[in-house]
Parts: sequence; structure tokens; C-alpha cells
Amino acid sequence: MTMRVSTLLGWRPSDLGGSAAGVQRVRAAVEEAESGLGIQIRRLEEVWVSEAGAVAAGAVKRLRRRLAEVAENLGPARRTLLAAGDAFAAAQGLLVRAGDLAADNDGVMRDDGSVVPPAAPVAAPGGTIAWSPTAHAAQVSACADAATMAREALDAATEADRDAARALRALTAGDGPIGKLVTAIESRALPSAGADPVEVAAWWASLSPAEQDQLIADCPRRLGNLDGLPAAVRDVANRRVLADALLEERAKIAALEALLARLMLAMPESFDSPGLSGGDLALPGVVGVEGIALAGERNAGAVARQALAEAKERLAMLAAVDRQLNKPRGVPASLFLLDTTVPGRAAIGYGDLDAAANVAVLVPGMNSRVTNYMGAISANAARVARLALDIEDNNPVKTGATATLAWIGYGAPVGAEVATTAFAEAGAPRLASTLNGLQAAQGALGQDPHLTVLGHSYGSLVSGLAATGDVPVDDLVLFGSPGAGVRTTEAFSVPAGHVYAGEARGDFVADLDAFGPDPVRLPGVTPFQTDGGFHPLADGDTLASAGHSEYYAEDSESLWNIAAVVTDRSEKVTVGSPKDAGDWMRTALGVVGVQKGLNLGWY
Amino acid sequence: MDVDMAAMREVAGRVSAFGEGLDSEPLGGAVTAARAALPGDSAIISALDGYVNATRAAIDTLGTELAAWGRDTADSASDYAEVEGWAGSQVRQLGMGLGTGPGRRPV
Repeated sequence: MTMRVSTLLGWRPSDLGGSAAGVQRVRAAVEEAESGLGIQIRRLEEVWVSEAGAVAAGAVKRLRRRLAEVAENLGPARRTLLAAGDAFAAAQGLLVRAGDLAADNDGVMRDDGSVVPPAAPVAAPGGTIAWSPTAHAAQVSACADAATMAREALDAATEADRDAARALRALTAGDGPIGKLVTAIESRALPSAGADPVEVAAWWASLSPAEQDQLIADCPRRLGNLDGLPAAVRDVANRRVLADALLEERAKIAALEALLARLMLAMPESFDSPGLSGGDLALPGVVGVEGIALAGERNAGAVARQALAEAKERLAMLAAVDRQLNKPRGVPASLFLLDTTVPGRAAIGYGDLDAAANVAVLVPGMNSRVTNYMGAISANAARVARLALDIEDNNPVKTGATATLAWIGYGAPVGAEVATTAFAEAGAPRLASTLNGLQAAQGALGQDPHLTVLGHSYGSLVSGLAATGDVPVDDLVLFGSPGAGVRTTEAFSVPAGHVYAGEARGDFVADLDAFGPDPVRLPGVTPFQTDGGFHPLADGDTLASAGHSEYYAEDSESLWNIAAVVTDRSEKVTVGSPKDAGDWMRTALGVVGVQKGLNLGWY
Repeated sequence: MDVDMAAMREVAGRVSAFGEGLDSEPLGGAVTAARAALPGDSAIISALDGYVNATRAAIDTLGTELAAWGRDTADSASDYAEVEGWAGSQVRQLGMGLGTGPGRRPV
């Protein structure tokens, strides 16, 4: 900028003190809060002595440190404003003196600081004028000095303005003290749980490695299940959450067992006497105050036992995940999803989900809760991954590495709950988000994985519903399906010709047509063989699957066909479907239904 | 494990209050005051504006995080109340009932 005389004279440098005072007020408030937090942290460490307490104290300590940094860095801003005010005041003073000097010598100061000296008088023709060339020369010289002073004043003000601006900008620059802080804090503004996975992936990629490490250390719970983050990041975060939860739950159980032991010792006769409630015993004139106290102690036993049962249930769920995560299965495992609230949700990856060219997600059916099913689905996922690895190793045509995901990411129905589609309708968006997250995480690295969804039983309904939405699924494989929630494959967003269905002999569930027509019979679906026999990928005979739960069985034709699709070798799928008693019965019912004019649902 | 739920809640409340009480508004006033002091063309104003916006964002975020920490801690206290904390209180009550405290006779 070019500083003008009018500009500098119009400034009120002393008023910058008011601006600096505003900065100081905030600094004082931040310092007070920071100091107060110190007291609360010390108190917290006295009253919450546990693993969780240490974590919580660590978190608030980090916030306190950041507050201290803010307070500390408000100081330079305040000093910058005050220094600029002083510099402007000095420049203004110099400019005023320059103006006075010019005026005293009949000079005129222009707005750019230059000074027009008085002109030498000119005598009228024939007249005379009394003037002193020496005096005039002195005036001109003084005016030149005034101009120099004015220039110095304007330059000083310009420089002070520029320096102050530079200093303030340095404080907010990425490598400045506040700038680092602001960057660190802004990076903590994590996307919400339901954020668009593509945006999540872009946000993560925008962080520096140091910022990413800090976030993983600070916010494992918030990162672990964030769709769009790399699986490797989620693994680190979720393993920490799992370790903390296991510690916490074991400590709870130990405390509750100790309590129960003390209660048993104290009240061996009344401890196990059910039936009386505090309300009963509080009836006036019956047992009085002592009875209420007694009831309280009886309830103590009952409630403690209930709490112990719940803690053990949660520990069993967490331990099921921990066990599978650490079980050697021939391919590296990662903890992709962990919800520690009973009945829990979890997903374990086998292989490198961030780099694999082929990624398959296993979606289980009814009764598949973390505690009871994590082992089975993990074994299935690892088996598919291992077979895919073998196929890739033994085939001249390469499609790249494969990773699988054992996904218990929805609350599966249990028992009679299976009659409703509600569990699938709630689970489908979760599955869709998972699929979009896998795609986005690889997409951020410039990769586009071949993504397959493997839906078994009720899981085929979850998969089918998810596949009707905006999902990046390349192949959809349904087996043992009681219906996938669609009447036509055109309802799927999967490319035409990329839906496969399998039905094992004796699988009555696959003949139920409970949630739509049997996918095996849907036009546009490629049925695959499950009866055993020669398979081109195996280059030999394979085993038959029977019933509802052998689709992933080792060496089965079903597993080879699943692996063929997963590894993007669908041309190797053995096509066809056995027709068993269930199919004949369905046909018969359909005929009867038509003959009788009955509405038999999907028939 | 040693947990005092009531004290936890108190700490949580105070930390929340610190978070909610963090007021960055005077920084906005600092910009207004600077504009009034330096009318016309000054490089300081835009630089100060940027500095204040960034710093206010930092303070406001810290305030929000402190308040959230307070809420989480209060929730944890409630969780303990449900299990360990509750159990601990029963142990204490029982101790009083056994004659170690006032107002209760042994049962």
C-alpha cells in the first residue's frame, strides 16, 4: 500500500490499545480456564482410579495443554498490536512535525508527503520587492527537510503496518505457533458417524501423518467405525478400543464378584431369599425401617448378580472378537468394525482390504450374533481368502490379491424375529455404508476394487436390499436365500449378469420364498452348482454341499464357485441348480394356488 | 479400581462449565476496535481478522471438546452407578448395616 498523509493523520494509534485489550481479556479467560482445569485434573485422578479414568484424564490433559498454547500465543498478538500502535503514534508525531515545519516555511504539504516550497517573489514591472534570496533559500531547504521527514514518517508507518500484518499472519500460518494449534484442532473436527465415506476418505487423506497419528491416539472410538477410512487405520483404532473394553469389563467382573462374596458372607440366609421387595417390607407397621434396609441388601445381591451376568455377557462378546482376531488363519486379520454395546457388532478383515484388487464381504443370516457367530464367519471369510490366494497363485491369468470381510455389522434376527424384514431394512444401510467405505478408502489411493457381496440366508435379504441402493457392488452372490427382497434383478444396482445364486440340496430355507422369489429362479440370475463334481478352477472333483449351512464348506463346489466370482473369474462358475423336494413342493403349491385362485405370496 | 461417582460428576460439571464459559467474543471486538482505530487502508486489519477467526475457531473448538468431555465423564459416572459404583455403594451400606456406620442396626 502507499501510505498517504491523510490516512496516517486519520488514524488513532492509541485506540489500538483497545483492540489489544480485547485480546488480553480472552487471554486472561483462557488462562483462568486452563488453571482451573489443572485443579480438576488433579481431583479427577483422585476420584476415578481405573484404566478408563486414566484415559479420560489423558484426554482432558491434552485439551488443557492446547488451552495453554492458545493463551501463550495470544500474547504475541497483543504485543504486535501495541507495538504497531506505538510505531504509528511515532510516525504520526513525525508527520505532524514535518507538517508544522513546512507550514512555518510557507510550504504546502501534499497528500503524498511531498512539500511545495514557497515561490520566489516576482517584482511587478517597474516595481521593486524587498526579499532576501538567502531567506528564501532557507525556506526551500526547510520545506525539503519537511518532505524528507514526512517521507520517513509515511515509510515508518507503512513498514510498521506491514510488519504487524506479517507477524499476525505468521501466528496463523500453518507453521506458526497458533497455526499449528489451529491445524491440530481443526483436524480434530472429525466427520460424523454417518458422513459420506468419500468425504471421509478425502478428509483423512488431507491430514499429515503426524495429525493422523494424533487422531488415532486421541479418538480411537470415533475413528474405528468411520466408513471411508483405511482398514489399517480402523484396525489400530479398534484394537485399542477392544483392549480397553476387555480390561474394563474384567475389572467390573472382579469388583462384582468381590461384592457378591462379601454379601454372601454377611447375609448367608437372606442373600438368596427372593420374593420380598423394598415396597413390601416398607408397609407401615409390618417391618418398618429395618425391613427397608434389609430389602435393600437383598436387592443388592440380586442387582449385583444381574450386573455380573451382563458384564459377563459383554466380556463374552468382546472375547469372541479377540479370539478370532488373534487366531492364526493363514491370512492377516484386521479389526474393521467394533461396537462394544451388547449384542455388539464386529467385522474382521482377512487380507489387505486397502490394497486388494478383489474384496468380498460376507453377510450372515439369522442368529448370527458376535458372541456365537464370529468364529464361524471368520473361518468362512478366511477360507474364501485362502482359496482366492491359491487360485491366484495357480492360474496364469491374474486378477490380483483378494481380501474378505467377515461382517456382523447388523443386528441379525434371532428365532421368530426372522419373520420380519425389519432387521434387514435396518441392516441394509449399514452394509451399504460399509461397501461405500471400502470403495472410498481404496478410491482415495486411486484404486477401484472388484467388490463382491456374499449374502447367506437372511443375509441375502440384507444384501439384496443394500444392492438396490447406490452401492459400488460388482458382483452379488446369494445362497440359501429365502428371498432377496426383489421381484426382478433389475431392481439391483449391480451390473446386469453379475448376480449369482446357489441352493444346496436339502436347504429348505432356500425354498421358503419368504422375502421374494427364490433368487435361483429369477431371470437374469446365474445359478451356480452346489452338488459337487468337477470344477475347472479346482481342476478336479469337488464336494457337494447339503442343507442350509455348507455353502462355505472346504473343497465344496459351492465354495469354488463363490471364489470364482470373488476373484473375478465368473466364467469359471459351474452353472446350474439342483431341484430337491422343496422345489417340487413349491411347484406343486404354485400349481394348486393357481388352480384354486389363491394368493400364495411370491408364487 | 476406585471410583467416586459424585466427585466424578462434580469434576465433569466443572470441566463442562469451563468449556461452555470460554468466550472468544472479545476477539471479535478487537477487530472492531482496530478498524475504528485505523480507518482507511491498513494491512493489519485483514491480518488481524484472519488471526482472530482462526484463534476463535480454536478456542470455540476447545470449549466444545471440554463440554463434550464433561458430558462423557458424567455418562461414565452414570455407568458406574449402574454397576461398580452401585455395587460399591451397596458394600458401604452393608458396612453401615453391620454396625460400622450410624443409623443402622446390624441385620
